Amino acid sequence: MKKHKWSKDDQQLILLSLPTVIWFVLFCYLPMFGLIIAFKHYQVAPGKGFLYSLFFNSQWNGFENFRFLFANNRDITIAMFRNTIGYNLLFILLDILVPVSLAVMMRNLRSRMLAKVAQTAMFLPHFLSWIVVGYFVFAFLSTDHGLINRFLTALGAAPVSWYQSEAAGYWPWFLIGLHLWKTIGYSMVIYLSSINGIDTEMYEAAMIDGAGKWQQTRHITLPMLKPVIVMMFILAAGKIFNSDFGLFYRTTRNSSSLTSVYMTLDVYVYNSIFNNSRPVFGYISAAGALQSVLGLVMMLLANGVVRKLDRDNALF
Amino acid sequence: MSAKKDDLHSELPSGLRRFNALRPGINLLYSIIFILLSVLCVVPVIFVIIISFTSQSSIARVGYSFVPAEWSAEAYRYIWHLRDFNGFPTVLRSMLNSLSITIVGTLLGLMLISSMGYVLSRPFFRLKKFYTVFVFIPMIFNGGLLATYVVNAQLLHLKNSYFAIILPLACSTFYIMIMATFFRISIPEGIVESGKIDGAGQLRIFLQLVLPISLPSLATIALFLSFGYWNDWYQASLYLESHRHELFPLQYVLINIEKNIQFLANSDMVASTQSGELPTETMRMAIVVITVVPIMFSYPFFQRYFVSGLTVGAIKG
Amino acid sequence: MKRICILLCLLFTLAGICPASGDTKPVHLTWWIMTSSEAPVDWPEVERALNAYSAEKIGVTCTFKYYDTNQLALVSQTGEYFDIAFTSDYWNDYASNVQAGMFRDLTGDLSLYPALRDSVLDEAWEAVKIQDKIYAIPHMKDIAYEVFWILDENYFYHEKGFPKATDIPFEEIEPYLEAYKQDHPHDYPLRLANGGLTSWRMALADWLVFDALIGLDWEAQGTDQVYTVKSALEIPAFTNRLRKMHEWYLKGYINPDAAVTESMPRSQGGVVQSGQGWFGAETIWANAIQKPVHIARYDGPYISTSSVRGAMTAVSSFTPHWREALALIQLMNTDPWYRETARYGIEGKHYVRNPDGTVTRTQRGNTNMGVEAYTQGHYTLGALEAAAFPGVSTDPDQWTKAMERYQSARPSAVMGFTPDLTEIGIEVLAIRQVIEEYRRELYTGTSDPDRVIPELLTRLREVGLDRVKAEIQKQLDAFVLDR
Repeated sequence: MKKHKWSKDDQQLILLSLPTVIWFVLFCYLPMFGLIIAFKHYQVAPGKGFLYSLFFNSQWNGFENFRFLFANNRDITIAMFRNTIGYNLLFILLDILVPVSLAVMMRNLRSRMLAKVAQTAMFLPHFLSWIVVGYFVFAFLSTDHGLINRFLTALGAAPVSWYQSEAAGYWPWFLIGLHLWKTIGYSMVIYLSSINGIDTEMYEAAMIDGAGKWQQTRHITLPMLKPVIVMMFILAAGKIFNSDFGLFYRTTRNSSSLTSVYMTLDVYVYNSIFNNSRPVFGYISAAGALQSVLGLVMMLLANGVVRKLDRDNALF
Repeated sequence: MSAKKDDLHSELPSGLRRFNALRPGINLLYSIIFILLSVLCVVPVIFVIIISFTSQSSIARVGYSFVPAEWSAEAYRYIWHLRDFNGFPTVLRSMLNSLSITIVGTLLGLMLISSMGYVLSRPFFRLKKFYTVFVFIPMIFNGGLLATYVVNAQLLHLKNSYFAIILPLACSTFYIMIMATFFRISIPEGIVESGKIDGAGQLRIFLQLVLPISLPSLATIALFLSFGYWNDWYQASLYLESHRHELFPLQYVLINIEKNIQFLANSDMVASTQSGELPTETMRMAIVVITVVPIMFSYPFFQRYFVSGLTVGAIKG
Repeated sequence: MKRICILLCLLFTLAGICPASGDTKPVHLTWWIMTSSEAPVDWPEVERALNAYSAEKIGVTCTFKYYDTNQLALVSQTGEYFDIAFTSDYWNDYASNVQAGMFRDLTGDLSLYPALRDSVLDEAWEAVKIQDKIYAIPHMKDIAYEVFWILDENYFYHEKGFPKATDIPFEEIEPYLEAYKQDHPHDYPLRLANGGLTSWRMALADWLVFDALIGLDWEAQGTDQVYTVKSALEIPAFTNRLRKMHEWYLKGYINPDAAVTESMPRSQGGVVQSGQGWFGAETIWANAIQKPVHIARYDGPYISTSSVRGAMTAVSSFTPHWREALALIQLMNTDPWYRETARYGIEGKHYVRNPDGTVTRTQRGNTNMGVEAYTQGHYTLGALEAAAFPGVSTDPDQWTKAMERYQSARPSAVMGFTPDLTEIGIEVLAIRQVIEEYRRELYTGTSDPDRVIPELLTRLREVGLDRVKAEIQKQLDAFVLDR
């Protein structure tokens, strides 16, 4: 590269981005040497620091740490990968479809008051942690005190043990419903503010041309939202092997009978380290590394698909 | 900003305005959908508030209920009476701590995120490809807990300092990419060009021309950031040593209260006089209420920017 | 002026040079200690009092660092400095730390501290040995497993007139459960969380790997099976108890959601509860339950490696100040004033002394000075807490009696044996995971053991139970031969 090719703009932009670049180097790139724990039998050396322990006191053990991910019975391992990918694919789809439709609907709503109230209300679940959500789900589903079973017995029906295997068929629906309920408000904000950022003159021009609401949505709102949607899609694809731990672990109360419904990679890792007095950082790192590599593959795939369909909005 | 929009709308001929409105039937349908969704989201929160004011004994007898057998503010009283070493209410002190962390962190985060977002949104920037990859890698790969701790605590010496909470949470790939996309769709290229013609550098264009018209996106990111800071207890638990109570943010204090209560209620090793009367379950809900209420008051401040402009068209148009 | 004093004192503590009498600066140490949440709010003040005392007595001051499990994993695995640390098999794991060389071999040093050496029972010294060397000082507390029924005094003895007994075998509690269920058909005499009855399996086997349910059968002592490593699921005492629990679950004695109940505070537990303790612990349990209780033993006393290793204090292998460290540990475990201050706080502020020699915590002591006292040192040293509940008394001789019982407790056949799990770490993890899937429903009686245990055993074998057993058996045989 020749020096004179750097324009003044480029130099100024580099300067402008410098603080953020430094931030990334310090807080993201510097710690990355930790990745090699995944390939070592980490052993702390008495009286020595982490670096010494990692590089001089711990032996390489290849992919031994990764074996832990597949150490459980086959059907559990299969359920774990099936759930992680299955729920995530569904969530990626729903997390785009539902909030985008709702945001567009909200934009067209006549009452500004209702829009404001509804928007605030739908953001509320985001305030509640999964632990708390777990508690009031229990208030509904508890076998003896639960609101639903009290209702069922009042109607003369038999109460259901919601956390036992007899109810396992309902749980995928519960999980999907709870996920949407908790995240809609949050993701809607992103789409709402994008819509709000659209230049109003575009709509005015369309109105003057006689475009109705549906046409405005189709020809202005959705095309303008496309970059945001594509970005959210690619970002989500990179996280497809991670899961919302609280959703799967807390709302099901980690019930043994429901394991095959909610076991995901993150739950598996948590279960193996929980209450374990012997730290197993090698295993945790191995799980993280696997999630990262698979996530990278999925993200590149997603990016490739986008590239095929719409070159402008692809990342790379 | 929105005032200017309102003016534009009022200039539209009235016929157009009527034409642009949603048909009444559809509007009704939409309204019903939103009302239902709102109820679905509000009811659990009201439930949480009711439980927090229920007496512990009535929960032990009949479980959670919308109409408790016995009301009680015991959980709040318990939290309020917890004093630090100077006799100052712990909740108040930690709330102030959280407030300062949230404000400083959000401002710093906005600066880091919006500047990088703007840079990435410039179509002709020479390092765009490199920067995209540079920003994306940390979303996929991270060094793990041990290495992060070593860098933050032992290399940067952030232990027992608010910077240990503020800095690591200030920025993320996700926010930057959202911000870059926002800039891409909402900044007309003309503005940047006109700035250049006036002889302004990129820094001035960014600060004086781009930021003022990007309030909705800035508000969105600020909302996410401030929630992140307000709710953080994890960073605090890693980097603030447990005897530095004067530094603790609200969430961490509340989580510790809950753990202490659990411990007192379950432990066989502490002969505590009060353990039988501890409001264990109502406390959990009271804690939610205490953390949610202050930040909820700030919500309309942000919401202004991403909802108000929205419905202006529908009302006036 | 007062403010300046406080500020100065703070500065001094921060710099680690608390003002002390005498010309030489006291040696400053760091002590890692366990907490489930945070350090007590008033700890800095208590620490200053402790340091002023220890600086004068032995020329040592100390910073106590309270860590929960996660924080400990970070500081210990990244090699942060300490002189003294609490250790056990659930926090700062003793065996793996010894293996990594983190703890100092104290075998020879102890003769320099006779008061400390003599404050510990001989059986306990045996139990903490690894390859014949002592790496930690065991805390004197309930070092043998004794498991008790905790029965509602008013209901069972005043209302129903049951005869009082000191021992009630596990199965013989049934009439108590039945009586309560008959009187209260909509309530449950046993109200359990997902772990089942508190401590119900502590004394059922001589545990080698507790979470993986691997151990020796107590009943095999005196037979040729005495050294045979087993899964608890193959030990009849264990499986029979699970069958009993299931029977009780079906009869409605146990709350139906027990398997998905995270915790059950004692105050909300049923009229029949369980706990590991000692005769005398009823004071503590009555305080927690807020009702007078009577306790009756159903298991024990058994003394084993795992029962002793519940709480210990170790000295770091890389500290230059091991002499001072041991002197401070000796002070903690032999000096009543130091022990009581570390445990209860400052007299007058955090607790008051009663005429009978017991102490009572003040409101401030309760909220601002709650520590897990057994993690600091001997639980048996210093004043006892008074019963805070009317109708219950504190037995002043409870620890003398307990120690006598422990000396005649049934000892483990393999005292001091520590399995090395390095080679089978992944299999042990997998076994824990599989057990985790079944544990809650088995322990609460929710599932039928006759149906579930065969299935569970098959799955455990699939993930390597036999390999783990064989490896531990090999090590155990070598240990026995060596002895």
